[in-house]
Amino acid sequence: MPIISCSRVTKRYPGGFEALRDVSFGIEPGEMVFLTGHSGAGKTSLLKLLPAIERATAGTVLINGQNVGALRARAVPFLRRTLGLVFQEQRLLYDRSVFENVMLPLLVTGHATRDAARRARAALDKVGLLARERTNPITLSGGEQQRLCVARAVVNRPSILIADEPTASLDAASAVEILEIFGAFNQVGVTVLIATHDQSLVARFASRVLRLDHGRLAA
Amino acid sequence: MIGWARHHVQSCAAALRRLARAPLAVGFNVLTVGIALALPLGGYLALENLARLAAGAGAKPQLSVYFARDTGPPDVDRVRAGLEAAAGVRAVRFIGRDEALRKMQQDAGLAEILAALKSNPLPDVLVIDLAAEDPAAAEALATRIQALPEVERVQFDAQWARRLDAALRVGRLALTLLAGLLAIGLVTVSFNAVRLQIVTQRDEIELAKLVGATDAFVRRPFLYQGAAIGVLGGIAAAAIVLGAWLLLERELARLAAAYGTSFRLHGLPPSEWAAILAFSGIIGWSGAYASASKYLHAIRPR
Repeated sequence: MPIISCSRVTKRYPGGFEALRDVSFGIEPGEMVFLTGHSGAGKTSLLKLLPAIERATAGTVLINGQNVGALRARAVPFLRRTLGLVFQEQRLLYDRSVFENVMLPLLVTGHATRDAARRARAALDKVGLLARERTNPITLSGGEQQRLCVARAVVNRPSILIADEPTASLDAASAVEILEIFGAFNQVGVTVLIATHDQSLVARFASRVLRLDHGRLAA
Repeated sequence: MIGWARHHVQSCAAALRRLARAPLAVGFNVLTVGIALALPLGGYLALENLARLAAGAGAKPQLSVYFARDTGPPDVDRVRAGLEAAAGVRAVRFIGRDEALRKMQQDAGLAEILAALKSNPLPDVLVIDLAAEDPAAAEALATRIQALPEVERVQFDAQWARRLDAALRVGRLALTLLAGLLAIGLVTVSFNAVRLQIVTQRDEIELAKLVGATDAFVRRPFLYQGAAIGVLGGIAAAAIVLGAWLLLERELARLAAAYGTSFRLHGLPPSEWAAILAFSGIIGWSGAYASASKYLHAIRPR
């Protein structure tokens, strides 16, 4: 049974713009999948349906068998806790340290402080930022900031990792580095879905590719 | 459950840290709350002291019975005996007209006036100490005595205390209304303070929602912030009132001394101070709750 499944999903925004049209696919547990397409093809719109940031106009989105579109507002936070999200705009908090940025998802889920700190350091270690835990994220390079976002996304040990253009603002070397980190998480069983417009990066991995074209899934 | 309790502690600490980060803005808010609360609080203290004064004076309700000038000693004794036997009367004291005159002559100012008089203008007087503090019973007794032919006039000495009591009641009601109005005003202070804080923390709130924070989780630090503004405002109000008090107390003591009595301001018991702080905390909390409910809901991650 797929861990993520979309069937006949359509997303129409107020004003009539149709971002997604009749999109159906399934992603199996432990899979790593790239979502590609030109800018404006609907990649971000599709990714926003998964954590219920947006709701589909038609069709169903299932995560772990749960119908995301039918979730009550109160249940949404608990869905999001099972997902690791890396956002196109990084959403780092610059009024606190690298360590505290990674701690935030654990505070939200109410982890014991000591256990949370241990997990946050483990996540920072995995992305190679443990030595920078006391610094402010503003002092990090673009690639380091993106790695910090990955650490924050995985600190809650989600079963699904979703990243929207995680390499968009990075040079080639940093981009490869980020994707290799995603690959490492995939190796240990995390389902990974990465949206990117960069075909050359996709080509480096032998992963399945879903290509969006003007809101439709191209074969 | 433990996680929930932990988050309450964390939220409270985070709220206090945020307040400490903007001491000037917070200081003005706290001062606003403090001054607004000091008004009814000071009024309440003043009223309580007046009420205490009234209670002290009115504790022994007395009737003064003035006889007609031509009443002879046998009639006076008869009335006296009758009153001593009456229900609700604890003691009856007789002040003869000659004794009263003698007493008045001891007063230097009055002696001159009295010397100018040809005869003693004073009547015989019975002072009745009443047993119960029941104004209605005292009133009834006074009416009954007044009906006696020998009696010129009956004066109910607790009357002024009752008038003061009625005035105090009006004062208390006015204060309650004032406090109610100010409380509503203070709710808006906290409402706006929290609204501003929500606006400045928009990024953090969005992110928290994206990583699975519930609405209650996001709201909690703001509720603590509102409550803290309220409690700090209450402390400020207490400080203002106590400051004014210390200034007043010396002058009041001096004034009382000039009237030959001693007077001390009475403070509030600790439980009432605690209640005032709790009240101001609840005001701050309510404003924060209204603000957080309205504005946090509007923040949705995009």
